Formats: sequence, structure tokens, C-alpha cells
Amino acid sequence: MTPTQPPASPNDESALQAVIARARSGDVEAFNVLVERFQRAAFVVALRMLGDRDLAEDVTQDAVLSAFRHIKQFRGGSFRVWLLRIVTNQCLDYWRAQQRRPSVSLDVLLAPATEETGGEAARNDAALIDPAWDPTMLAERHELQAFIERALLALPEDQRLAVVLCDVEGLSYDEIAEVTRTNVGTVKSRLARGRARLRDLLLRHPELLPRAYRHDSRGDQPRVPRKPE
Amino acid sequence: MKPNENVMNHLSDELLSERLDGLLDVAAQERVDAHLAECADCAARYAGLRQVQATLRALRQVEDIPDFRLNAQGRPRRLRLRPESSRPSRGYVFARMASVAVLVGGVLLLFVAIITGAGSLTLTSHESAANYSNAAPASQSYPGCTTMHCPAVGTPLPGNNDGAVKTPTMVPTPVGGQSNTTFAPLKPPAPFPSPLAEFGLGMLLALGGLIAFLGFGRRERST
Repeated sequence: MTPTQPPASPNDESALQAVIARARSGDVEAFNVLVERFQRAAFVVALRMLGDRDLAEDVTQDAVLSAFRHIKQFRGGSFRVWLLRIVTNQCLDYWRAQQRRPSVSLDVLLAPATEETGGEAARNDAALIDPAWDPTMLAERHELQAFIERALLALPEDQRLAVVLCDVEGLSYDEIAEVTRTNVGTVKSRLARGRARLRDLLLRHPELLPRAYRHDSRGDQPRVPRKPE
Repeated sequence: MKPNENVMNHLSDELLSERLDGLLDVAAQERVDAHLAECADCAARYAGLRQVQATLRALRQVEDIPDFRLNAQGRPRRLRLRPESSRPSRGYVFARMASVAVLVGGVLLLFVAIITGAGSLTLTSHESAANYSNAAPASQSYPGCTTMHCPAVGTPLPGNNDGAVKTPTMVPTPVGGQSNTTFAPLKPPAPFPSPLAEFGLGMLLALGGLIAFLGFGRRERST
């Protein structure tokens, strides 16, 4: 298993800068050290953006190759952010070239709620306000993850990228702004809209949440969240 | 902020999102928390965001990360899972656009050739005839023929009121003691390039562009 985390200590950072300097001089082995360190982040971002493992592997490989060829253009800062920018650019190039996006129809995502479990959705909305409710326990559920994976692909590209970089990869707002070449305000807006859209889709699928977390057993009245005006 | 105001004015998703990331200052966070404690709608929306974020964090775990390191020559060690052609490069897109441009250019050239060719035919067969029809007998020849009869030697032809004779050279030659005059062959200036050359070039470009366009399209479909 390769290291997956960016440098955490000053010594580690200085060692990383030394490796980057060697890689900039054309040292393939030094560059491979960087690849080992950041390839997981690059691949995960590509995978969650594209929704296809084979394609994500090729796009990540292309990004790594492009990074090696253009490493002299790296002007310092976070190498991870620089590499992720190349990965996201590769994803965007792929979409533009294909003239299509790996989107999932919202109708498919919404169908179960409107046809079969629409009434239960409202009860589950109330379940989400249970103070004892722990979202991390539900997050481990395979069905829920699979749904969020599909719902991600239904987001517009900019929102999806912000959500993936922040919530999946754990980048800060400033780092996301650097990757996407926008400002922090735009990042906040895209992130909020992306998360809210995913939440609204999730709330229409109460079957993904176990009954232990459903609030109807307490006899409370169902409440349907409303968006602020 | 009064309790009623807390409930009446729902929190925006952006504010809830910032609260989720712990980016609010202390005062703002206290106000948001106070609202969430009283407003079930906003609390439900906030809880939904927490669930989404927790699930997204779980998506970070991916098994079997491929090895993307390069070999000593700076090339990928692993083989592509998809053919290179499945990912159209910028060069490919440019070539496709160029083929379209050639196709359009060829078609336009064809149109120009057809129009100029038709105009040339009209000039030689109708306009010239109209210019000379008042004076020339029925047996006269028009541009392209070897002789032409005209009642007045060296004078402008009837029907040509501007006084200019359209023939580049007019050589009077008495024929059989009559007053008729024989002129040198009338050669209207040939357009350059000729409509035939334009037509051929246009056809060539159009066909080439069409073949290239279809070839690229076939390559794209095959991927």
C-alpha cells in the first residue's frame, strides 16, 4: 500500500520539496515517489467524477503522464492540489470530447419515492432530526453509498467537483478554489447546492435508511423540509 | 433574535453547509444552533446534509488502487483499459473540424463554379446576341464563330449606345464587294479560374472533406 496522505510535518514537507526538485530535473524515480504518494487521491477524484472505474484509471494515468511532462510548470505550493487540477482538467477534457456527461437521470433517482414510498419519505424526514441519530453508521451501508454514488453523477459538473473535492477528498475551501480556479465564495455556493441536491434526492428514498432510525415509531408528525425562501 | 424569528426565517443551505464544515464564527454558530434547536424543518435539512457528508466521506475508501508509476523511460507501466482512440484528443477534434471546413469550402466553390459558369453561358449566348441582333443578318456568326457581318465598317454596332465596341479587335475585311464586313473572331475574356477548374477543384475538395469527415465519424463510432 502506498502512502496516501500529504506531508504532515515540516521535515516531511522539506523532504517532499526535495523530491519535487529532483522530479523537476527529469528524475523518473523521484516523480514515482510523488505518484505513490498522491495516486490514491487522484484516482478517487477521477472515479467519483466519472463514475466508471476503467475510465477513471485511464484518465488518472493520463493525468500522471501529463504531470510528468509538465512538471517544470509546477510553481510550488501543494503538489496534491496541482495534480488534482490536472486530473479534473482531464475529466473535463474527456466530457467535452465525448460531448456528453456521465449523468444519471433524475427520474430514475426519484421514481421509487413518487411511485411506491412517497408517503414514507415524509416520515423519514422527521427521523433525520432524531438527536441520537448517527449518520456515520448509516454511511457504511452499501445501498446508501451506491445511491450517493449514482446521485453524484446527477449533479452538474461544477457542483460535483466541489462536493467530491471537499467531502470525499477532504480539501479545504481554499484548496478547492485553487483546483477549480475560482474563488472561495463560488466554492461555498457550489458545495451548498450540491450537498442540498444530494440531500433532497436522499430524502426521497427512505428505504435506504433502516427502520431503527425512522422517527414514526415515536409517533411524531411527519415534517417535510422546506427550502428557505 | 427572538425564538419566533428563528422559526419563521429558515436558514439557507449555504449557511447550513458552512455550519457543517465548522466555518462559522462563534456568534454565528450559536445563532444557527439556536435556530436548529427550535426549527424542525431546518434541523431536518441540516441532518440530511450530515448524512450526505458522512456517506460521501465513506466513498473515499476505494480498494485496489492501480499503480500509476512510470517506467524508466517516463511511460506508463500499466496498459490502457480502453483504446487510445476512445478518448478523442484535441488533434482529433481539430482534424474533424478541418475536414468539415474543407467540405464546406468545396461545396461553396462548387456553387461559385456553377454560378459563374451559368453567367458565362448567359453572356456569350444571349447578351452578345442581343447586342448584335439589330444589325447582323440571320446568317451572321456570334462570338466564337470565324466571321461576322456588320453594315457599318468601324462604327459602333447598333444597339450598343455607349459607343464602345465590345470586341477587343475589329478588323474590317470586305467580302464579295458588298458593304458587309467580316470581323475577327470575338473572344470574350475568359474568367480566371475558369468555371470548369473551379468546378473540378470544388468537387475535389467536397469529396475529400466528405471522405475525411465520414472517416473520422466511423472511427469515432467504432470506439
